[in-house]
Amino acid sequence: MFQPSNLAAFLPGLLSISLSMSLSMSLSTSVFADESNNTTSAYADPKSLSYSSYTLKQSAWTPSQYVGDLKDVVEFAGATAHVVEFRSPQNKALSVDVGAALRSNDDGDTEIESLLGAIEAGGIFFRIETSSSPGYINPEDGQSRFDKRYVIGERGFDASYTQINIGKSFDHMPSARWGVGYIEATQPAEIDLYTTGSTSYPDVLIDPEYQHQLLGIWIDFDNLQAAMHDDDGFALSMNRRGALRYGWGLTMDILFGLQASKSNQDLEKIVKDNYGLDLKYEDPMGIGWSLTYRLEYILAYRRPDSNVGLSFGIEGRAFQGLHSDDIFGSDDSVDNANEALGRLGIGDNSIFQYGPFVRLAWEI
Amino acid sequence: MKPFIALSALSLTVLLGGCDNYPDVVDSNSPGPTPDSETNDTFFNADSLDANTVSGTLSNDNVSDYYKTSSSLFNERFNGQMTITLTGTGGNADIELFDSNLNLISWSRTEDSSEEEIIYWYSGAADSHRDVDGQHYILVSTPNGDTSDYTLTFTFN
Repeated sequence: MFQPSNLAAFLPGLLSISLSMSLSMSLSTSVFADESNNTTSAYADPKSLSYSSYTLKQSAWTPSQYVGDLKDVVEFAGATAHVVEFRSPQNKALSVDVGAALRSNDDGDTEIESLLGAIEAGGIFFRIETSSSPGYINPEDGQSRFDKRYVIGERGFDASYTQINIGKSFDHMPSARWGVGYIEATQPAEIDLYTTGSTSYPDVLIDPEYQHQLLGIWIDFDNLQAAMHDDDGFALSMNRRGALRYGWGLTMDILFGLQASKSNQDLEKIVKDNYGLDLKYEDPMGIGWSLTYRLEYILAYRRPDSNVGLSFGIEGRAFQGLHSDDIFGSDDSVDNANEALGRLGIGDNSIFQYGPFVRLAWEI
Repeated sequence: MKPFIALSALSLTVLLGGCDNYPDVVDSNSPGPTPDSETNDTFFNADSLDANTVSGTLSNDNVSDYYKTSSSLFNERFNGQMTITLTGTGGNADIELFDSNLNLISWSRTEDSSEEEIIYWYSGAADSHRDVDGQHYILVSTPNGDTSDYTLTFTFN
């Protein structure tokens, strides 16, 4: 489980190291020279600049952003998130990228929601992002208890999201990267319970911390940086007026591959102890995809030795999967009154998050 | 054109065949599994609480006893306060109250051997639609494996 307090202990150290590297590099201005034409660009090589950004957004984990079959019983505290990111110049053998998101809820409490870290060496890029948020499972509005639902264990839970990417930039589109990605997401899920119905049994079991794992091909586009560098972007339409750039863009992070989901609960024992039934259940596998998008309006201002960018819009994440039973059907059956069958519902392995954001970035 | 139609028909057949995602469930009128009357260490094997008072013993080998309330103790039209009390001698023991869906709704978990008490507002109207009217479960347990002779008392006020 994500432990913000443990990882947060390393953050000040990482930030201080990166800041020192950035300051030492920003004291001198490097100029990119085209040896073939023997001409000099009016702008500094973006890779020689350090990059910093601050983003204000609606927190990734809020009740209104949790979409699925459990929306009526799952609760998170409403919150806003403050995200800071720093990257050292990329024209060195080793470049470091660190960031953190601080989540402030309605009660005024602040906690670290996510940590982002990346290292690029020898052209290979490594990035890890984590986020988490506590939540609670309550009966539906106006109800004093759950109706035909059994919550396994505690009603309080910790939802978490971790993404790891390894890859490299495209040669002709530096703001785009591709490689291999891995996502691990933990959140409540409903397991449909099939029984003969001769006795009153619940219809679903709720596992507050059900786990999904996705491994596959990853591709990523950052249009704000592309706009700040006059680079090609993805779905990016920029206009120029002197040093000012402005226009719309669709920044995206896509991962597609194999998905495996599982419950960390002993479901067979739980159903046996609670209802005396022999449970048939298998952790599902199939295909999955993750799409993180940012539909944004971008303003960028280029100077010879620095760049400033501002973007605002809507960002969100869709994490979905199709398990083999959903695609090919199932031969499972409940053959007598002593048996039960558990299956993850098709809508219970999804994560949908969206909300407004504002991002300010600068390179010096 | 004909091969294309055949391929499309085959693809559609495969797709439709994969759309039957629901398991086959036998329509059975049999009553289901039978609880083990020799033990009350799980929800399923819980002893029926047919009287207002019951006694038992917890130990390191028997850390939990489960009880379920029978409908004779409940009036589905009753709305009022019910009190569950655990008294006894020996070590630490706790009580927890569960609804008919086996979800925890209240508890008393003092850390010493003091008396435990749950006061719960029971609404018969909320349970009147259920197949087993008024079904609640009470768990008596010892978190430390202490030996304790207890008396569980259940009353409506």
